[in-house]
Amino acid sequence: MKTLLIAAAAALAFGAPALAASSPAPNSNALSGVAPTVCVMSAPTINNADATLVSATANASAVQFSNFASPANAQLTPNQDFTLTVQATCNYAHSFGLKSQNGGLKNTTTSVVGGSFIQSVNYTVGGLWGLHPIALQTFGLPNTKSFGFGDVDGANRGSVVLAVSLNNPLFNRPLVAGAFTDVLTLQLGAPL
Amino acid sequence: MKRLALTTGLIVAAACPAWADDSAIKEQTLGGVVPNVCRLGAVSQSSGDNASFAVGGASSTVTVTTFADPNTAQARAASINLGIQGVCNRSHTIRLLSERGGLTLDQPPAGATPGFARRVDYTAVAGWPGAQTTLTTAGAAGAAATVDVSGPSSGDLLLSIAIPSGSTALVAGDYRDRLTVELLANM
Repeated sequence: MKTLLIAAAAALAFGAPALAASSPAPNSNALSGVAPTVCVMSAPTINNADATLVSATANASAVQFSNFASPANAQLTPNQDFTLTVQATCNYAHSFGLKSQNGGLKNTTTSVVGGSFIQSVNYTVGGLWGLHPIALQTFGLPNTKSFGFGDVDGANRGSVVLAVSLNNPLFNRPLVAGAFTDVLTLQLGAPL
Repeated sequence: MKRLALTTGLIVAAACPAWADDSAIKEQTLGGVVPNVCRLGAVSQSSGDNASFAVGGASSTVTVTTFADPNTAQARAASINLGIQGVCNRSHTIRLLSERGGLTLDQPPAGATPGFARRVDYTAVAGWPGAQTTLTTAGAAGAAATVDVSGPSSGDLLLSIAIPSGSTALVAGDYRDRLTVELLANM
């Protein structure tokens, strides 16, 4: 009796026939689990003296150009760039994309009275995620998106590198005083 | 039944992944600050009558050719129009400032000079896109005229200086004033 009771307990545990000792039914056990689709990114690091990473979290960061314009003539300092590096993991086929909210660094709060001033500074971003390069070029149009090889057909892990370069203006004109800003969105996962 | 339930669950998960939109999004705020810059540059003469202009360093000199009539010693009319390259990349104020409040004698005589004038007043007008201000001297040292400009502006600031003819003989001597033109960024 003691032996029989133990066998019955084992059969229940597998969810199979209640009386395994007396039944020849196959002992088939379905074990399964679902790994969620996940893309995660770390806080970025910056590499260049032209700009400073003034804040950085996993979801948002702020980069400030150190000498954006000349204090002598308010013209854009030429050849400003920086590189952002983010550690990332994506465990499924996904998209790698960038989007510029303003379509350039813009000052939208100042109204010019007369003369010619610059109120929008375009920039270029070269992005690399594994073997997948993309690029973004702003032209002043809001919500400008990147182009290139942003469809990643499998899981990937490593560094996302974004090289940001301000475009030198065709004609040197003074910039209006104040803050020029844009929000550059980096997304791994669903297409932007 | 338990096995069947598990199988069904797997099919559902594969057909419609519950976390398909689990994207990682990072927003980078990019920013740069442009300092306040107000500058006046090269000065050029566009026209003049009985007056000439000489470029200096930070200052220039306007000389009245015939300041007083040689027969009556009364001031002669003179005028000059100048253009000054300027830029101010935020709201600002244009100010004209007269050091002496008119053209006055460098070395005035100690005593009274009844019947003679010791000062010649003038009018200066500064024109700038969207703004104009006029200063008319009347003897008050440090007299100033200002006008606010609501936003950035650049181009030629047009400065017109006019000296009217006088009706009183002037005391002999050198007459001078310093007229300062300023673009002041409003903070």
